[in-house]
Amino acid sequence: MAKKREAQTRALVGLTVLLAACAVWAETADRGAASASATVIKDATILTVSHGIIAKGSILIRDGKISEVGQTVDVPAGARVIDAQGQFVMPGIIDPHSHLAQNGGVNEGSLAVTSMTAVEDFIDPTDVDIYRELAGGVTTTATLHGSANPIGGTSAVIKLRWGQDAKGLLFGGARPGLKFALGENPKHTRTQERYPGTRMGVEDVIRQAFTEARIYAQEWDEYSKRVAAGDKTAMPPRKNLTLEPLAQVLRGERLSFVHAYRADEMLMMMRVADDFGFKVNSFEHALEGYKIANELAAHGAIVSTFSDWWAYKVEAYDAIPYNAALLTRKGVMVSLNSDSAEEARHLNQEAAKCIKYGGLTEEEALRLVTLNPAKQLKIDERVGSIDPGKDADLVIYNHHPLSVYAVPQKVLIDGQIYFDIRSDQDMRKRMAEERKTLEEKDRQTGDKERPPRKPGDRDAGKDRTRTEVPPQGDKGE
Amino acid sequence: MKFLRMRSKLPHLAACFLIAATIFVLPIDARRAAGEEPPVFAITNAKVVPVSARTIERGTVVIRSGIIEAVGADVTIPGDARVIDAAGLVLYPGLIDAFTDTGLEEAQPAAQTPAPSRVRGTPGPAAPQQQPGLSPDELQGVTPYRQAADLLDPNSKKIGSARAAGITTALVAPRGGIFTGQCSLVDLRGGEAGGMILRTPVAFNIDLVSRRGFGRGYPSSPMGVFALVKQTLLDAQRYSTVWSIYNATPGAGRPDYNRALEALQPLVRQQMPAIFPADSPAEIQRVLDLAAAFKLSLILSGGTESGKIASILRERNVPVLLSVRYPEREKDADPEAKEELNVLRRRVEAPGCAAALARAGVKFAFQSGDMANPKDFIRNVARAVEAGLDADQAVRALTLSPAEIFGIADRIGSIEKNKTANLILTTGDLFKADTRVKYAFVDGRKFDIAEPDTRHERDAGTSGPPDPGNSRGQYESEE
Repeated sequence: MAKKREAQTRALVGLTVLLAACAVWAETADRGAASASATVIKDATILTVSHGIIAKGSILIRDGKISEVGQTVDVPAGARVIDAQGQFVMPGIIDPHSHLAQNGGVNEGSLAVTSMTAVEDFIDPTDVDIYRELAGGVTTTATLHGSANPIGGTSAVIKLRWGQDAKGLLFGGARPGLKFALGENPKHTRTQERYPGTRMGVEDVIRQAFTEARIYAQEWDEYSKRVAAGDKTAMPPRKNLTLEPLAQVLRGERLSFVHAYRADEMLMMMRVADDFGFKVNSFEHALEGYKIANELAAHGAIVSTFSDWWAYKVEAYDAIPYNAALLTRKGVMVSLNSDSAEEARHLNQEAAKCIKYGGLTEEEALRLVTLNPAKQLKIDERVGSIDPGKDADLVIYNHHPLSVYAVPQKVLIDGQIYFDIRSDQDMRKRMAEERKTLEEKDRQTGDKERPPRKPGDRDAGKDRTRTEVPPQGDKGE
Repeated sequence: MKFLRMRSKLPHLAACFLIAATIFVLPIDARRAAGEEPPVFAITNAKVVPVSARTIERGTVVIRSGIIEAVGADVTIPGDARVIDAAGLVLYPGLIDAFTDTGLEEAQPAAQTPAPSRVRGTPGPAAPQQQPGLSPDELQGVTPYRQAADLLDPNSKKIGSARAAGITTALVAPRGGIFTGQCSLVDLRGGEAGGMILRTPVAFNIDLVSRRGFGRGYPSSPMGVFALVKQTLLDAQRYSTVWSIYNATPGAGRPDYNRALEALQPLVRQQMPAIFPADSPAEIQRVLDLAAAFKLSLILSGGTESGKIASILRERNVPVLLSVRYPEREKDADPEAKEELNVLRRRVEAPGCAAALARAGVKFAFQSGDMANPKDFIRNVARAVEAGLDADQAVRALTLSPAEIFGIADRIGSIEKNKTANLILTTGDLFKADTRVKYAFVDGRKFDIAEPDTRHERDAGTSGPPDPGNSRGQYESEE
């Protein structure tokens, strides 16, 4: 659903960062070693998000963790000092719902239940959007299966450590998740006639799958009992990659991320969860959440929504920009998500909108994109605020991050600088040089065996390596 | 009457003689005619590149009955040998295309053809079967029981054109589906399919690409394909377990026989390797992880960017069947659009991959990557040499290395006594632009490779069957 809007804005903003990104990727690949030494961010306005603002404070980072935060900190000998006078530091933005860095198709659209598919297997560390989002202050994202099916695939939480390989991006120790989808997307029949075709059918598919998962779990329990009792004839049940994640949801070992828009479908899903004895971790988008704030609060479901993005399809017509604020006031844990590589680059501004619409405090607003999504993903022990002991995932802005003028200057993950607006400029130059070199090499060593162009033979010898404007009179090709 | 009887005896005798002749003589003739009894050749005065040993500047190689009988600078030429004076020519082992579809029947079983279906809930064994004649296995592309050796078409035109490019042996991988089947090593000589098989099965081939579109049946995405591979391997492991329990435990219930899972047992028991396609570091890492999780013996195919993680491949001892079908600039790209830097980088750096693998000590062999023109095979290997690969190592990666990877280095891959007589005679150094293959010997059978654009007709006197579909190489079984 994000795609339309994304497409419009992406073309405008994409090109600028693209060039620099590729070079950074090459450059940061072997950066890991420097983390041993300490780093101090000095004299910044620190937005801790958890315990207010420190007007002119410092942060000491050791071994990738925040070691001290306060007016002053110990500066160990040999520490790298970042002078952030006049600048603002906030926790790295956490985007709890994206499809970033995937190259496995995002949707396995063939079946209604595709919990056997795993986004984690298809992390693309070369996706340039990683760098673009990093440049927008995002340090962690949950990258999810698409919403084509009532039950999609398992998700992955990654840190945007641009330059690392696929495994190096994974947020180690994050609780695994599973994507569900309600409403228009999964009931869309799209290119095939596939059950379900209605919201009723979506519920049926989910109930059916959980019923199977419950039986599956019982089979394994019985098998374990027989083995424990010394029964040598016990045959192990089939390990079923489709039912296994669902059984984990039933046991509370896996988080459920439920894509939903309308109030009625969210109520349905909570009834299903109650019947099967698990909790909906979070409703994703949930634009009608404000209509059922009390029910959501009672269930304990987290809502991850948009600030003011609506009317892009029928089920998004009843959205209001007050959704996040109203739900927050009713005691629901709320986060903002991007669902889009473009939106992800200014989630700080999305948070700011919730001050205008609904009157959240600045700290409440910032929590929508930091501490609250951390709680949603159950990684708040590690990230989401500036507190000693947490990962040093930090963004240094030139202005207050709730201002439209705020631009990230440096972005740190685990204490390492992964984005720096100044070195970005240098890298653009180096990339231009690299391109020149490569193009020259391409001309020299490219496939030279192509037959030379004969007069009248339009295709023979067609220059496949051409990067220049074609010669005049040859434009009809 | 007597006279008549006498006369009638004669035909009897003649008949007896004929029968005897049929038994003892005809089969030999028939075999000769079918090219089963290659003559003895002595290739003299050639520069011999044995690969396994130092180059002999002026040497002789004798081949008899399809086997190399002698190699050396001072070899006595047997009296029954036909002498080929190869002065000025270079003798290499026959080249091996380490992964190809050359020689496969054109019409593959319709595995994984789009099967529009109403699929409800979770996928199960009872997958919808709407196309008559296709099993659920075939619908999902899980056909590990298929074997390339059984799918060969000796008349395939590709055999002759590959041989004309100096390729005498190919690892032929079945195509279609995901567990596409088992690969066979095939000598590209035509004739009876059975005679062409060097060894089979050699490895499983697993394709990770779904050719279904979105919404045309499971799996339709790379994620789905990978999940199906994992589930199938889990099922094959369990199949092994439950049968072991059954066989060891009286009173245990009997598991069901399953053709696909039965066929996969050598894979999950590490008795046979699996070939997986992977090009980018992320793809390779994914396959490495899968192989580690299921304890598979792994061979990578493609490997366009494998040089970037060569040290890991060396550490894990994973061989690469490196494709020399290098990425090309998109044919119908907007001429005014600038190629993305990473795409440009990938394209320009591709020929340098082999050198990177060699530097890191990764075992690798070249494959053609199903390129349309087999002549591009050597031409593109030459580009790898230009990009820094040692020429000797390049020759090795076309001959002995693939033989080692496939565990058949005792039979092919070098010019040594008692090895299969798969040889090529070229007009010069293999990687020189104007060098061409003049003769190819496959299992001791000599093929004259016509000069490009000057195809000469078959000599009137030659007997033996025409080599079907061999447009550029002439098979010569007799004088």
